[in-house]
Amino acid sequence: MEHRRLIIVGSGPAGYTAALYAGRAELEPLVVAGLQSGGQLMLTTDVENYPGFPDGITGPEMMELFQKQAERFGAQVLAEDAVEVSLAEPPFMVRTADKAWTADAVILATGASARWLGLDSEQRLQNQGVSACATCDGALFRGKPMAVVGGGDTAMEEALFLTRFATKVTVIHRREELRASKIMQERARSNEKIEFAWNAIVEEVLGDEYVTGVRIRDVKADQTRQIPVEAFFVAIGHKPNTDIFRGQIDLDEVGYIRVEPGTSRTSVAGVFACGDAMDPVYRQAVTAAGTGCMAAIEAERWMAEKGLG
Amino acid sequence: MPSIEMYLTQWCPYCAMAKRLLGAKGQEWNEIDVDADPQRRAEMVERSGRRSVPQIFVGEHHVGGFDDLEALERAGKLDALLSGPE
Repeated sequence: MEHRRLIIVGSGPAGYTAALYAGRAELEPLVVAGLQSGGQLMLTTDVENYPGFPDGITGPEMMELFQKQAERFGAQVLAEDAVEVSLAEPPFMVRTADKAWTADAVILATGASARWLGLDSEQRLQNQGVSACATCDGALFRGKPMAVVGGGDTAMEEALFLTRFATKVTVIHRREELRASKIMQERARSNEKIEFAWNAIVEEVLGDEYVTGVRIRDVKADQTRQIPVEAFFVAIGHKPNTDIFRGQIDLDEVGYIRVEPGTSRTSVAGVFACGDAMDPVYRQAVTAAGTGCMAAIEAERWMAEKGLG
Repeated sequence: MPSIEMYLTQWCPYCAMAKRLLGAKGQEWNEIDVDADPQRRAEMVERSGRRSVPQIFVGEHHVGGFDDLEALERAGKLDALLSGPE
């Protein structure tokens, strides 16, 4: 089995920043980037809150720049999924479908994925108008009414993007206040194509072969009503991609990797975590990059202390 | 080698991922932009039975979307499909 000094699992802003710093520390990191390399930013149209890009940049363009910068300093990026890891003690092991490596230290930067509501009707009508990716499927429903469920920045961004195509976008939110940032709220509220259904939960996505509407319940008035839509987008948050680490390092009850406060150190010495996989609070590209930097510096120091540097 | 057809939209990130994966395999494909063309959109729905993009066909075989392409790759079955009989 080939041995590497440092393996980074994941390739969003956290993974690539860790790779950049580790590369500059001459650790020649291997980045197991995943088939969906680039992470959640690959699904983002405009990134307006990453400092240094005053005119904004698209998510995919930004991740290409991150990757290039990491590669410039010697990171090797592999677009394959990690399917198994062994984190009991060093040397650690990371396996893809084709190959396995041992490593002195590992950085986990596997990020998070979109969460679904968990309704049977939602699952049954996936690819038939139910989607978690407005940028993918929005254009297919040009000239039709659509709905987005969620109240955060992602939901506002999706709703705003969908106004390019939709006759009307109904944002369904279970509370009376949005969680989204002020600027995104204002944009959504001032868009005449966007309507809000407050205090509303989705009971069922309607349709036999494809989506024809949603049935929502106003939990305050305790009334249900149907909204006719042909597309239904789910933007209710994310869950950390940490299933393959379960049982090997400490996770919290939701699945986020537990780290020592103020560090990237996990419950296993030599295993570090960064980005959305360990951050239930901020979940921003810039904080992910920041914790990626921390993980690389801590990994390097740990290896030096162990005489592995 | 069977020809590859991909129904896609201009904005779709999973379409970009599918293109990247096929590109890494040295493949070429025919892109059908269903964004602005309702007829091709209807054709896609009819051929694939789905209302999501991308929809990928290898020859006459309907692969599905990027998730399906990725699943084939993970299962080690994509190369065989791409080089398979017409």
